[in-house]
Amino acid sequence: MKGLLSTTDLAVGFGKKRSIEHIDLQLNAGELVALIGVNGSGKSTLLHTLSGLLPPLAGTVHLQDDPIDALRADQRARQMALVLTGRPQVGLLDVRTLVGLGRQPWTGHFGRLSSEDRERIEEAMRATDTLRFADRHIGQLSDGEAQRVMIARALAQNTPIILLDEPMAFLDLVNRILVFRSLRDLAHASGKTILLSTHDLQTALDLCDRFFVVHDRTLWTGTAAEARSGNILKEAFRIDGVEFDPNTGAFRSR
Amino acid sequence: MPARAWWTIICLLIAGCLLFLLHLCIGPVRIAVPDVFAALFGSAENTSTSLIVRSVRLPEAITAALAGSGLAACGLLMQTLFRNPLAGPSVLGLSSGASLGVALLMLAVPIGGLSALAGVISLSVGAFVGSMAVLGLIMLADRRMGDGVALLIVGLMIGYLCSALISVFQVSSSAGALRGFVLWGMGSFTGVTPDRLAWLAGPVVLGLIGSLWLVKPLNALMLGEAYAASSGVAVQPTRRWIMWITGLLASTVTAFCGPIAFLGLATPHVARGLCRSSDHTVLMPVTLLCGAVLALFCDLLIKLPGVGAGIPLNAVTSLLGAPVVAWVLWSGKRWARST
Repeated sequence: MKGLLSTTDLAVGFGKKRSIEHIDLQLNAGELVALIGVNGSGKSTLLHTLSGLLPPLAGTVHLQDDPIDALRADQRARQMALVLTGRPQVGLLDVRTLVGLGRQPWTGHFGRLSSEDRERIEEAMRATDTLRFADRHIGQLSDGEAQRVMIARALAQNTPIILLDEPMAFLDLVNRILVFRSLRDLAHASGKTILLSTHDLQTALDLCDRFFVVHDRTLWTGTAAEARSGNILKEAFRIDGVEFDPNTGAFRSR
Repeated sequence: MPARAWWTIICLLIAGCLLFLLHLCIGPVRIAVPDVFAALFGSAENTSTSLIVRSVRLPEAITAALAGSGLAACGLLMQTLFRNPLAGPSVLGLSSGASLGVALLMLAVPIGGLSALAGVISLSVGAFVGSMAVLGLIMLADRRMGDGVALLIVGLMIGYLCSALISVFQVSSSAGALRGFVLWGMGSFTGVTPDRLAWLAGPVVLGLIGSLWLVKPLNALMLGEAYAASSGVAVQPTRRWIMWITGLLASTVTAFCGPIAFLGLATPHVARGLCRSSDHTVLMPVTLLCGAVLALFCDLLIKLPGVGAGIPLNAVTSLLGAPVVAWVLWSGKRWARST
């Protein structure tokens, strides 16, 4: 069976330097998948390539049955939404308008919002608990709040696939778990496919269905249980003086 | 569109119409409002009043409004494209590039300056080539460095380089050509006679329509190119369109009115302050109107007998524009809070 998003012998990287090679992955409807790896291992590059923003160095990415480079930007945008790490610098844009930008693939030439668009926007803001500051400017929000707004924008895009690059990076522990859980509910309840890169192994092991682990320039794929019981996480994070405990999902100083 | 935006637009329209009318009334000869209307819509009497209104003041007022709108649109397009609040046609060297093109034609090639229609058109083309060359360089620099401050410095350097080259031409040019060029460099909305107006209005109106046409992708670009692409914008074609429109507007206005400082940079900030939004569906129309109003206002100041008579237009736009820019820097957190 072919997944919503799949790759065949994909290699990603910049220029001639390949970060990850021979990637054969598949994303299916209704699953939350964690992308794990040490800093600089190519997680962001992989996400950018999967979303069609970067060209693959080898192999192909398929969005359902179409090779991704055969699709126009607006066709891709109706299939896949993106949340990037960091906050964009836009001063005088209120939160509701920013979340509304997620509706762009569905609106007409001047981006006028229909009542259905407005409903989707409210829904996305409700799911991310951002309605409280809907009329504030994005520059006035804390990093965590801004991050949730960017997630709301992606939800408003209403795509079957959402890719997130370290969406928890600026969140405190509690918010991290809340956002993580709402993403899982979203995947399980509405059948969306969500792939996110994260360093928060503990929460990921608790909440994600499957794992993609970058290790030694290849991509290991497996279920959360397999990741917990196998050696892959130990190997991927083998750093002198640090030990991974698969039972708790935590790292310890040795 | 929110109510605030509608009110802003209505107020700006009223202000613009009033300033436009004042423009037709005020000058060396004061003309009463009824006489202005008679000259505009009345019988085709060729009295001196109707001649002044129709062939001197009307073209000047139209030029001021179009140039103001054009430069303001230019500024907003560049600020969004480079995601830099201090981008603008004069800061990033576009006006300098256009000036270099004009200087080449006015000083090095004896085309007769602004005297002949053919001369004016070739000045436009020269300015367009000059500003597009600079814009190309700036976009290349933006790609390579991706850093707002570095980009501004590159723009300044290009500006200095163009000025230096212009000085080189000035040394070897005739006194008459030099005088024409220096006057042009002070900026003025008065040089456009009725027969030339179409050559200014055509490209500028085209550019303004283009700016309004692009509001949706401009909104997407505010979040950066990756987000824009992921929400369906074909980023490279959009960048190219913005580039062509910016070049067309900056060069046409510069060719006819001289390198006018600060209007392009400051107007979008005034517009943001008025409508409290960066949403281009609101901000772009407000910016265009604001540009027209500010240009008419500046030009009116230097026309007021006794107050500003004889002051170059560029001095007034700088006097009003520089504080706006300083204020933008001062209240930098309004624009962006960096990560």
